[in-house]
Amino acid sequence: MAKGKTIVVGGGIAGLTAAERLGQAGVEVVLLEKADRLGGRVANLHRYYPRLCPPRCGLEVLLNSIDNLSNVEVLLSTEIAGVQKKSPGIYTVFLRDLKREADPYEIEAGGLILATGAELYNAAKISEYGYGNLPGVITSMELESLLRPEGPTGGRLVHPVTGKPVRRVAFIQCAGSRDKNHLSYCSGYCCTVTLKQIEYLHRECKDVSTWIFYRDIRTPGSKEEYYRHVREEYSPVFVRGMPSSIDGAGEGLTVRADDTLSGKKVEGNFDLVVLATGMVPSELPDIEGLEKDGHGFFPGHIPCAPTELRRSGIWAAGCAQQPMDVEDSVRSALSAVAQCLVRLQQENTVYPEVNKKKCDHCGRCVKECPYGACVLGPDGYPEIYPGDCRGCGVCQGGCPLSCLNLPGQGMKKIEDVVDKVLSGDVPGPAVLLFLCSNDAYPAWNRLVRKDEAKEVLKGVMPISVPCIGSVNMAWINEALIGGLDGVMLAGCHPGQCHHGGGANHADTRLQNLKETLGRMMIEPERLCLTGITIDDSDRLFSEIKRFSDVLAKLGPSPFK
Amino acid sequence: MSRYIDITDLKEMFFLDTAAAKTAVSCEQCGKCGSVCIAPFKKPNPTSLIRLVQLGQVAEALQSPLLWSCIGCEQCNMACPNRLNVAHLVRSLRRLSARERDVCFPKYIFDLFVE
Repeated sequence: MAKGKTIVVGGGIAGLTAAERLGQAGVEVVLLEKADRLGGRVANLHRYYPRLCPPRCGLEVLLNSIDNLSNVEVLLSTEIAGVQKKSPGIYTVFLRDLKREADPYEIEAGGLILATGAELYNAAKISEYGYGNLPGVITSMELESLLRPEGPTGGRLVHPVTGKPVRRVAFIQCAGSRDKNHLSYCSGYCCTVTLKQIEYLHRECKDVSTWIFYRDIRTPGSKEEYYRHVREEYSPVFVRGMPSSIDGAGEGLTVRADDTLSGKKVEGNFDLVVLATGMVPSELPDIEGLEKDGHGFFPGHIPCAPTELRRSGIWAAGCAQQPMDVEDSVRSALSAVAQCLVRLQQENTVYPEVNKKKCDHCGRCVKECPYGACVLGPDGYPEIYPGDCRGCGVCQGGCPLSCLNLPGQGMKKIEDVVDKVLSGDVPGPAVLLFLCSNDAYPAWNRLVRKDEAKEVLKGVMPISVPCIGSVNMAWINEALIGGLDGVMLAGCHPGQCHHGGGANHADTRLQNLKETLGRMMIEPERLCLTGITIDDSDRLFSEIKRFSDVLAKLGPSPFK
Repeated sequence: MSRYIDITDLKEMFFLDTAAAKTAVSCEQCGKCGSVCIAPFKKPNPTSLIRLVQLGQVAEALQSPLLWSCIGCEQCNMACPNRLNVAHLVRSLRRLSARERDVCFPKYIFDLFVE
């Protein structure tokens, strides 16, 4: 069982969902919120799509429930100042009380859910739309506030500056999105937000007409139905073409665009222009070993394990993962909760044992562990926290003295293979083949069932490893010295490795070993690394054939 | 006159009957009706014709040779992913067009019969 509290960073819809669910499961939770109230951006929304219901409804349920949970502590006006790994399975989290301006204080955490959310892209940066200069150009978030009964106009749709009634509203989609000068990505939610706002405007305000300037309307899944519903029910005018500028010289705002569907130039005069802006991730102090994508989000290992980050015990939820709407944020928070509960209750994990007699405290295992599960303990020896270790064995592969071994892995297996070769049972070039258990091994299993492969494969001895990065070079040395003709490593393609850099580690180590072999006048061609996906059994076969041919040409191992 | 089409007020849309207007506003311009249409004079094709109406350019749409070239096969209706009645829109426009003295039964089609 993991120790320590679970800290949920961010009190928006994702953070609230995560804290409430974990609280219900009996976990000790600390919920941090930078602002002085919970709810995040959702609390400023007027309506949710697709039901046009007020966000307060769902929020109240969560807030009441958290109120009643004694194991959920809420810290408002508190931000996270840093995170450090303290000891196996425990992080030290530095917190800053924003009201007191005191030095950061620290608490211990067994797990962290980063629900830090996202900010809206600063529309003032899109200079051509004049946001900030032209009264009447607002963002979609500002339209939400304008429509709220608690908003500046009491929920009436009037011009925010002149106070005149608004009749004609234009929406500009992809404002700063899908644009290499601003945000190169699609935030994915703005199209549906605009459709929702159109529906709301038409339902609640008399005599309103709406226009949309767009590039593509992106409404995946059931949102397509919603798009169709709004189009057919409220007939907004769709113009496919991005306006180059907004002219505020005369009465109202004049927007001109080229309609790419008809090839005609169009212009319109509007009371209000709403910019549908995308999201940028909120700032968060760097956490050692936690990789962000190029935009600053934590997308996880997509597609198979979107909640998996490179540090065990830390998960991202909501818009910290990628821009998403409320529905996806809740879903993402729930998956982080599920992973957190698994970690808290997991008992039987596979992790390497450390042979302290051989270890010289070099710390390579600590440096190479993709998950930060391996730390040097107080006695200077590597210590692996079972709950953090994901059993990839990259430490086992990297250890220069091979003193880390996963259960069932290690030199013993190589010795068995060598014994078999020495006994003379293995015909042809004797090849030791390491196979990644995720991909290459299933491909191998299919290959050995094929009759036509049997002849070629009879000199091949397979060993399954959790990741090709777990193959220790000492094993390869042992195999070559023991008389094997060649060693082949079949891992994943670079970039596809579940553990991040397993294939790259294997490649680097193998290159170094090849150099050493070259100096010893042993042909480096006796070693090879190949990338095999799970459906690549044919290619695995041809690679083995090619390698056997190379070995046949080189002749038997000089150690034989 | 501005080279720009003013889309602020699309009053020409009111010339259309309700069913035709519904087709016009509901169309998302996928282009399928245009690709299945077998009319000899696809000027413009049905998709682009609908686009003209969507932008309020009904007067321009009434000049379209397509209106008189449509053979009424309704392939467009069969193809439409939104199950819109495209053929009805074309027929409505033709009816409107027939009321306009200078457009009624264009000479180029009349010539086809003479030859």
